[in-house]
Amino acid sequence: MTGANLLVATPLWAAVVNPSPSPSATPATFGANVIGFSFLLSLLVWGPAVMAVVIALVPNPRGRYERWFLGIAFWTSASVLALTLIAYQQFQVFTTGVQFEENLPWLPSIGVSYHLGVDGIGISMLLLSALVGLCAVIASWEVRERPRSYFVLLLLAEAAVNGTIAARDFFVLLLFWSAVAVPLALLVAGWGERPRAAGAAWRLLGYWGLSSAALLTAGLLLYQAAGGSDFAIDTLTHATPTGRLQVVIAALLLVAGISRLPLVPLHGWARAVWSEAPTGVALLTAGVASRLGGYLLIRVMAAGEHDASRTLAPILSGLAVLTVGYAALAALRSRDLRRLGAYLALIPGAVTALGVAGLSPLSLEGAVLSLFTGGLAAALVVGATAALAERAQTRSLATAAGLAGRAPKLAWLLVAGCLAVLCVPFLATFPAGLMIFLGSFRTQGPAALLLALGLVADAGVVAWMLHRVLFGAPNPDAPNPGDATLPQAWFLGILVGTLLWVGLVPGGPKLFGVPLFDPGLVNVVNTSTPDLSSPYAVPSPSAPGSSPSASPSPGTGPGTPTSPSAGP
Amino acid sequence: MKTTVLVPELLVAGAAVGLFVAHRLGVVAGRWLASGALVATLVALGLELWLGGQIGTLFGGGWQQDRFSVFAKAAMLVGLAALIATGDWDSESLHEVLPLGFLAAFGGMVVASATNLVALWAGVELAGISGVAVAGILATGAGLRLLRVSVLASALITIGFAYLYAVTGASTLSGLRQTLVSEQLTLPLALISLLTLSGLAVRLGLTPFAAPTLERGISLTPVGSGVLHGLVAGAAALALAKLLSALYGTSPAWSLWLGGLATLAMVVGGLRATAVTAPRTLIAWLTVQQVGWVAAGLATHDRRGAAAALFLLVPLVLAATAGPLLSGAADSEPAGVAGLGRREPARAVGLGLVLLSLAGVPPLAGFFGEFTVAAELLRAGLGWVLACGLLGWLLGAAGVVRALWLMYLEPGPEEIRGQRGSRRPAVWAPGPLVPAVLVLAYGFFANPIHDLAVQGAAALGLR
Amino acid sequence: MPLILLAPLFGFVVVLTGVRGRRAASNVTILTALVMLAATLLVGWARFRQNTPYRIAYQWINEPVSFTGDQRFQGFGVDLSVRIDRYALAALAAALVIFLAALAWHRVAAPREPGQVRYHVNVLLLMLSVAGVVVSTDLAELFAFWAVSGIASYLLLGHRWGTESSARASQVALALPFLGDMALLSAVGLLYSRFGSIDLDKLPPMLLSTPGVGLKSLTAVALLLLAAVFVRACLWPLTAWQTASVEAPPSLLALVSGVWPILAGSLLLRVLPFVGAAGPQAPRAAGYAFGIAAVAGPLLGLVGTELRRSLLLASSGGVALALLTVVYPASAAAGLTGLLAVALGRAGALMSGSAAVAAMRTADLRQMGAAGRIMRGTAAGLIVGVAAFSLGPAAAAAWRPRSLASIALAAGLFLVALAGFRVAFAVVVGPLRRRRAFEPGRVREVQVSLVVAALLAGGMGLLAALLSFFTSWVVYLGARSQEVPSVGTYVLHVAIVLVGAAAAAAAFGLRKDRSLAVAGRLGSRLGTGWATAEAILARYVWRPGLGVVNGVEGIGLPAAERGAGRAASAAGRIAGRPLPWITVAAVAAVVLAVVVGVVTAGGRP
Repeated sequence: MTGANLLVATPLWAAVVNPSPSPSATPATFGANVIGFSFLLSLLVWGPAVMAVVIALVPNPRGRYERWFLGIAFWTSASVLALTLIAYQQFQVFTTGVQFEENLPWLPSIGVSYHLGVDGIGISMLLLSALVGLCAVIASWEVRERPRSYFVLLLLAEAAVNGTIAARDFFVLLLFWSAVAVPLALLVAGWGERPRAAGAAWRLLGYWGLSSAALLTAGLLLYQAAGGSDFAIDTLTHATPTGRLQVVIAALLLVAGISRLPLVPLHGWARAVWSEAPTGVALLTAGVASRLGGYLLIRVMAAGEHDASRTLAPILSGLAVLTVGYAALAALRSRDLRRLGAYLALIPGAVTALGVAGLSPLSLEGAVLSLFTGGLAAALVVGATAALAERAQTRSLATAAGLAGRAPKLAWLLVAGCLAVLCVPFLATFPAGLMIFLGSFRTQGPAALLLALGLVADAGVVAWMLHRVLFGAPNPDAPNPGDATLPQAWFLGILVGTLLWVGLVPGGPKLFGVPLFDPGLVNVVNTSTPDLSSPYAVPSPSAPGSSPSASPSPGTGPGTPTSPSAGP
Repeated sequence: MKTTVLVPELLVAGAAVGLFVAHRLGVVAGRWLASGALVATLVALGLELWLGGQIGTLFGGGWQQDRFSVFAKAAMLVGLAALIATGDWDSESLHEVLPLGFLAAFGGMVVASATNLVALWAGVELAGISGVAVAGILATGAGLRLLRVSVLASALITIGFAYLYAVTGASTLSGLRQTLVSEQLTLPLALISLLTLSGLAVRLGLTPFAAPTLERGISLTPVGSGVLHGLVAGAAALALAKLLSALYGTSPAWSLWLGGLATLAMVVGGLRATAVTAPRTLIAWLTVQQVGWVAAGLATHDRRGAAAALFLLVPLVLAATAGPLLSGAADSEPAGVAGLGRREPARAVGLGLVLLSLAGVPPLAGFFGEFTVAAELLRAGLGWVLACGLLGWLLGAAGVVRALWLMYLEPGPEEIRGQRGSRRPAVWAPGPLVPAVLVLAYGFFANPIHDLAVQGAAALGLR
Repeated sequence: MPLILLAPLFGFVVVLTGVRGRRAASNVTILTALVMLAATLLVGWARFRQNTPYRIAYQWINEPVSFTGDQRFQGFGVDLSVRIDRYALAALAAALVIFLAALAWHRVAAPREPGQVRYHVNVLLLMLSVAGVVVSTDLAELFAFWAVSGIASYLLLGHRWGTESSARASQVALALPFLGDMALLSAVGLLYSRFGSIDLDKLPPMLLSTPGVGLKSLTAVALLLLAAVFVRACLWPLTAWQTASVEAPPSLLALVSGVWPILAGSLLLRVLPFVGAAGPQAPRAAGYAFGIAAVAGPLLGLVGTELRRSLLLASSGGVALALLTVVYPASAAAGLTGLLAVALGRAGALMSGSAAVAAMRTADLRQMGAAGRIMRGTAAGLIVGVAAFSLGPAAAAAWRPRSLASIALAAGLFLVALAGFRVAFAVVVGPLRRRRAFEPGRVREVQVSLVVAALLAGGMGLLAALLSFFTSWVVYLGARSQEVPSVGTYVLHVAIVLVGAAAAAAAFGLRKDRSLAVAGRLGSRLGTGWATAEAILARYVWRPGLGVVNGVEGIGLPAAERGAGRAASAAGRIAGRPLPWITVAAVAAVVLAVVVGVVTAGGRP
């Protein structure tokens, strides 16, 4: 083979020039020519990265065009959201398999391929990422210090997050999973609240580095167990390691997942970053980057290591319970508004973890849904407390008191965030929480009961915080607070609006039974979860003693929806 | 096979001589010299990739052209191109040492095509002496100290080669391999093999043999450091790969030995990276760490492991050569790069990406190489090496983030003095972007490059 | 029929998005309540002669979650299902009367209350969720409306932003009842995990016919459901979430405290099959819990002299008595009627009492009096309300079969009447003394509309109490014929109430000052007791818990994180210590070669 011939084998640019013939379930109807091309996901992943490079290269003589960087970042995120919404709308529900797939050989001799694709779980996560990404840019409206570097790093982080979600190959997953830490750490260190920002950045780097190392080791062990031929996630999750090795792999995945989600005791980075980072960065980490931990637990651990997942489920549920209770106590001792919000933002992750530990079809579906809803809730709490602290010109709970009268908009937004964290009905976290609780009681009854008790303690903390910060008597010595600025109202409003929309019509709006523009998040998520969770199906009473893990995966078709209320 | 395949070597050797003469006579301006040198290097690289398609031997089997040599020579030429592109052509030193840089690359190319111990020795020594000479020209004291280190390495290699020849009666690598495979591993054989390899380890800069070269190297000018840590180490790594394939029969000894040293390099490199702040020192220790990864790949003593090591060698040579030049002459102190992102955006981007690649942070070239090595380590049952490597990886990344923080987030000296850095026009030199583009593009074109690395490893005759 | 749910939803959206003025918000809210009441009455009329309830359902979530295993767990669905039977109609009508009375009262009494739009938005939210709870048959839907009712109640009780006492009290109103909400959620979860269904219509036949589900599970479900009812009904010892909020706007206090007993009763009626199927433990536990609450609540109501707190505690006994009768199918219909009477009565009494408090500018019974002379309407409203919640459970108690609980019933009836009428007599009779900055002569009767609003609620309560004595009504409401109690039994239970009222008259009418002074002293002792209990709780529960967290968050975790960082850099510094490297390299080469050579000698590749 000559040198010239060597380059002919180059995959990526060839794919960009000639759309890949790889299967794509993108319908050829509406917008087929708009996003029917086979590199939609590459565009969602690399688009922000390319625009980051553009921002880095835009000339800025005497800092004259610094607001341009914000504009470019805003329109990039808005375009990503628009593309994601079209993809979400075109996503084919009630079909199984990966959609918008791209699969090109990358390191074929060790079985690495540039394999992107989304199923129901992935598209919901992409939507979350696009929403939170846009909110993060809007939340960064007032960033005037080194805006070029700030928005470059923000877009790079967004790109890495999208890449992690879209990855169907372990190498690609690890690549983006690890890559997201560096820009985020730099953002926290450079634009966080001094002097604690540096510590927060190191913690982020440390904990996320640990998760990357654990994930790499787990992936390589799976690779070996799968015969060392292919890094495709589907291949790895179908590997059958021996009992002890499977537990080791699942434990490593557990560490990788809970140090991102995060759960106590690996939450050190979260309390620091969410309370010290600039609002946009805190939003991005709390809203979507941290949800990737739960995504990993579902996508790789629960989907692949069935027996080990069952073995480790009590530990995971125990950590979830511990996190919920611990968050309440830690928040009670906090005297810092943003720190308090950070502790409350731990709760949705714990609820997701219970869903994963539940290991029943319903709890897993709830867990997937809670990745989206919990991300929004966590972002809302973190963002609202940050905005309130900024407008009150203080973070101290001793000073910030009785702000509701002066800042009613922010007060309502914070209340909505707190209620969302508590899985209150009419908000998106409710259907997810309901599925998790109902699904977990069979397998993790005591943990579910204890987590419910923990939520009561959290409700107490929320009540205390709302009394102290919003509804109590104002502090005459405190600086004069202001209500939400327009950007703050917008980014928090988008989060609350989405929470309400999904909370009210999780199945999508229907007119006389006919679905309208939104296929319904629950339906979209449901396209993948039944297959994923079929090994955990409740054994049929007709076949007593039949092991759930022994039940075969059906592989195709969701079957006819059945409602218990209209059930057999 | 036709002798035209020697054109790249001739180009490089000729360029070395031409540059030397042109500098001495002072007939050509510095910029033109740089352009000429770069063009010569790129033409050599292009020809190598084109003509490298041919496989065969010349000079009665004394010179070999195979996939390994194509890949190895390409790696050396890429490193040389990075050296020229990122060099500061306004400083006289570069004109003086560039011919030696070409000689070092030439030494590497000789190693790549060597089929016997003599050629291997000649290539390694040529590269090594060029590195020492670079040091000597720029700083006599440092040169003399480096000479002592070089003598130690030369002694070990020379004695080792002589003993191997004496024991096996074979001077060709293939003959050596055939003889040793059929023999039982005795203690003297193991000892001499390991001592020979120690000599190469000193040249390569593998911990604990890295320290002497490293300490002296840091004190050199950027270009000297680049030649020493990039091109010379690259040539040594190539020699190591070839020699290990020949010493396959003693692999039980050197596999454990190399694995241990690799572990030590990866961990110590990472630990030092967290402790140091001066960019040049950081680059040196990150280089040690990545050399450890390369050694770990070779320690698997099989084809796939060697392919992974070769695949990682290119980013190593590239980053280790360009890194010191990007960090700049005056930047042996942390404050040197503070605010670099605003003063010289292109240099900051280049330095940042090179550092990240050396630390193995995705999605850069170093990460691709280290990942392939990691995959092979686990397959070869060297999980303990991988575990230590991951620790070093985390520590190295932390060290790099601190450097990036300095470059982009901390105010530069002028800003501290009150002059707003952004007020001054930023310096936009294209040269520093070359290694940046290369470490990015490496992953993009990983498929054909890794494919070639696999064929190269196969050409070494490994299973 | 969907109007019952759509009207408050529409009103909520309109007031939230389009209305800014106080009057407009009030008009829309009252109109919404009237439309709902009209719809309720229309449905009642339409179903007057039909035994079967009105049903309709819409799918909210309907997903296949698995393709294998037990068919019951292969799908999951939550329906917006509505079932309107006679119980629901009665409950809705009573709740809407309370809403209308409270709204009318607020419109006149508190025109300057800040946050009028917020007030009406939250009231509409409560209205919507109350209707939802009463008509739901899907347990998930019921829980959703139940929880939203709780949140709306919290927001209403904490309505006065910027008032420390109100905000502090509202803390309890969110946290404490959330315990009940989570109990309900857990019960729903447990039911689903055992039966794969959360439909109240489909579950009863499955309860005892599903293999693998024993009495233990059913008992746990029943106890969790009873806990939810108990907490939200605000019974002793969990009365604090209402009694702490006496500083809230009177109309809201009356609204919340009047509406929740109705919701609790509705839930209890819906889940009676589970309680019944759970075996003897659950009803027995319910009997004990409600019985103790029925006695302890009014007993505490006798202690202390804060008017609204005393009324709430006294009426909580009435609520407990009514719920105690609802638990048993024989007395369920009468019990619900009694419960409605208690709810309406306590709302009316609280509104009248608050009017008196506003006029006399104190809530301390020791300083109140003479309302019978100068505030006749208010006094009448107070007496009617108290009479309603005292008499309410009497008939139901007569319907209930004899058992040990009868003693609690009798004691409860007596104590509720005593505690309730104590307040009435303390306000109505006796002198109204001069105080600093207070001239009794200036006290006037409140506006007629306030009196009418209070009387409407109290009067309807009394009417419900009287209705519960009519066998035909009870049979009609229960939609089944059953054994009717004798007139003597009725008379006996009414007599107990009358004795209680007489005792109150004797103690607080004739020797008012002395009795109230004793009550005041006991109240202060009780306050001291509570403070001590809180201090003990803080010392032995909260502080140790927070201490652990402090240790982890403040010391342990940061120390571990810092330690890891320092260890890494220290190791890095050690690794970088200057040494004679050339010697080291030479020695290392030899030593390593020897060691490895010795170890591996004799090996083969």
